[in-house]
Amino acid sequence: MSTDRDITRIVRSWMDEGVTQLPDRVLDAVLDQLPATPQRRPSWLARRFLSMNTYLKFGLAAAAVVAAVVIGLQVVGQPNIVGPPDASPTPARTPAPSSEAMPLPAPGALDPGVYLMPAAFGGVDFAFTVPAGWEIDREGFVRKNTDSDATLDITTGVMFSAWTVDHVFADACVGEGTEQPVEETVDALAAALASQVRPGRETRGPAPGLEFDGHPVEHVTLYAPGDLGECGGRLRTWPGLNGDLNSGWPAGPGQTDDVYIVDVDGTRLVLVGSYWAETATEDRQELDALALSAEIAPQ
Amino acid sequence: MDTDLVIQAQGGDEEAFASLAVAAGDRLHAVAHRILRDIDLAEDATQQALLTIWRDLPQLRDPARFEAWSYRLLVRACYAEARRNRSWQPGLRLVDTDTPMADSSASVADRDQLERGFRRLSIDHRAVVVLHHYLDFTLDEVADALGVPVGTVRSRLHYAMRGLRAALDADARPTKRAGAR
Repeated sequence: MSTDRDITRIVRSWMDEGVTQLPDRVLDAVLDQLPATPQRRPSWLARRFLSMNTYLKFGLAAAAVVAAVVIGLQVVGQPNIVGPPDASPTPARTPAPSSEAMPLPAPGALDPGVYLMPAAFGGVDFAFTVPAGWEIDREGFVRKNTDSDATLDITTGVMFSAWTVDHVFADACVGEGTEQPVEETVDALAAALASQVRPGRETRGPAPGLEFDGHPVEHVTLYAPGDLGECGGRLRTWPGLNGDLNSGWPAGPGQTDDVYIVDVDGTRLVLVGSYWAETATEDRQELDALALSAEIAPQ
Repeated sequence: MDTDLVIQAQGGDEEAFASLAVAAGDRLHAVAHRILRDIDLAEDATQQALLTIWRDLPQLRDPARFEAWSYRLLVRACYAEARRNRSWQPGLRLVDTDTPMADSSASVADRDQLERGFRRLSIDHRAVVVLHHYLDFTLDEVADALGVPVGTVRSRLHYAMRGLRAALDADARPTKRAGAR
């Protein structure tokens, strides 16, 4: 019978055998392929970035058509999105005047007004009202007072986003390898998020008193503790479409995501309001008001 | 690793990346070979890993973590190679007894048994063994490189070493087994 020390010594000795040099031809083959291998940028939200580009191209090319469509936008129901049931006071609902909705502009500051979030993000067009001081980034996030462009480095401010989600990580700490497809129902996604293994708390339930077209708005709060060292400094909530591991939605230390899941004529719309440990109360109130202003356009 | 080179390569500088690839290529290949136990597969995995490193380099948030991150992509490439090559099966290789041993403590018989035992392990388990026992990574460093909790690393290492131990000990049992029949 070998002792542990024997095994370790033998294995280490055995490991020292074997090749140690990469043949030049392999290295040459790699370098030859660089020009034909575009780099991926940015990271987590590549899909969203691409979608945004697509949308912006479309918007620029067909501005007149978009304007006409926006003018014809009619409210067919209210998603009635509100903030989390705890902490911040719920602001008065201020419906977005959808007839004034503008296409989202290029990344940068947003003038106060009503904008149209295109279906490229959440699968459903919707209008929402933006107060002063907000901006849209290149990946389609509407944000205010965030202290970093990198999601995982943010410690304050607020962010609002819309998603199409078809996979969820079963273990947010491990992430890759635990992604699982989710059926296209509101309940399936809410259940997948509520049962996700993660070191923070999770709550799930219908958003109090809210419904859309007779269906309850499912609400899941996902929280990431301040120390995520054991998870490599981040959690992974869901990957990009089709389980794409190079995009998706992460959570950094101290991040809270209020996830609202709505069925819009068979399309599952996912809205996320995010805030951090140091976010000011007034910013959260604005985030709630912004989400509450959402109006679904005729599909 | 020169973080300036990493930053330049993140910006699309192919020459900077070539320098990185030259510096990292040997160690990546050595690790791939020890995980996959096949020289051709290891070359393919290393080539794929280097291309993925180039492609995804802008996603690396902290250039100082380049080395650990590159191992993660390499292990992923090893998975892919192992999956892609369906004909790849655990098997014996001829042991070159003329090759000087790094340490006489691993006998030819031990190496043969280790080879068999190691090939029975999953890529997950092999990667932990190689990073810990070949690169001398601590368990925390292995966890960081592979992007898994340190508890997972610990359990994988425990399982893997138990398997290797069983393989080695099996070599000492044939006579008893024969006698028992």
